[in-house]
Amino acid sequence: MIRRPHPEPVVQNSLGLSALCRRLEGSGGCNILDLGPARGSNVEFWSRFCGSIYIADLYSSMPLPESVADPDLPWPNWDLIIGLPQGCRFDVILAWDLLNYFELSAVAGLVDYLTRFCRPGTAIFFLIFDLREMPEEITAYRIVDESHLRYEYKSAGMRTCPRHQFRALAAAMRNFQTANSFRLRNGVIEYLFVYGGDKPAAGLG
Amino acid sequence: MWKKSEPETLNPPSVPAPQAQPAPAPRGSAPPIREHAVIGPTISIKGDLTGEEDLLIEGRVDGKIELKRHCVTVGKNGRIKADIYGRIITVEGTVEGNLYGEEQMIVRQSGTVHGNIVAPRVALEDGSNFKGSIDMSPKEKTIAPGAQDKPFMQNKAP
Repeated sequence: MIRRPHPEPVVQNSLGLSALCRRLEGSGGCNILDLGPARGSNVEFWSRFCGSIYIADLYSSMPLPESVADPDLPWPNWDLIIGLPQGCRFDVILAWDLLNYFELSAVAGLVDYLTRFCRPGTAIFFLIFDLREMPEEITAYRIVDESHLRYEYKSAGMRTCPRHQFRALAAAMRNFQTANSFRLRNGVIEYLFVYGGDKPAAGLG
Repeated sequence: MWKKSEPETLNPPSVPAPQAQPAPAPRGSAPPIREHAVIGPTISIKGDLTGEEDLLIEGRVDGKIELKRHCVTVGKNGRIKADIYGRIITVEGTVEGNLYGEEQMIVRQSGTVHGNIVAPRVALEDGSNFKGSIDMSPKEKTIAPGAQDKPFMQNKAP
């Protein structure tokens, strides 16, 4: 593990967030699932678009305890970890940088679980690090405005970055297709995938 | 559509700290008017609470708390396993249950809420711990005793 001085929060452009906001303009109210931690300013930001926001705070469950391992599957029991109420449907899922911290099999399991709460057109927004190292712990993201995110690092530690490739991600996220992808100057790729229904999507790869 | 929530440094009208005791009334005069009721840190209640005055809870409550026209404050020592109905609800302690605020809902930095919030205005202070849904939709959809058992956003299923 590489040590560095505790980084100050930094504000970065977010073209993916802009694209997501454009999708939501005039949608007349939507339901949002935020897998990140509660941030008052984020709740306020989304309030202009949506009727409800569900904060799952998956960050607080990381690293995942062994008790959530599913003996029958190569990924954790996401129902046990997230426990979304049955029957709810979301229009937007905010996964932030979570997918960097899971192997692709776990990503596939997570997406498979989330699919139960999607409807055709549900958008999932996430960030992939395309760097040699990435923050050791998941970063919290505070929305500054429609095109800027404030990265709030939890610790100074760094770890090897898995650098998930687009094709592998697209394969793990079956039934979703890419709506937008943006490579930012800071080595982050922002993705917006959209749920297409039960048929596996072709993607753009 | 949601209304804009209050700034995170918001300091709304809340129940004052319990140590602020009124001065003793002179003999023969009317008893002092208490501004709020207090459930102290050593008190544990199992059952429903209703009333017509503001309430500060520093103890434990397991049941339903219904003071729709008044402020309910869960103090730092408060441990609640209950649905809370209030005009303005402020959480500084821990709540497991759904919160229904007629006007406003505030989760302070020290507060932990595992449950759903329904209120026209919601403020989550940085450092607060919250897991659940937030619904700031119009009032007629919100305060509905008994509705807390319904799944989150059930009405929008395809």
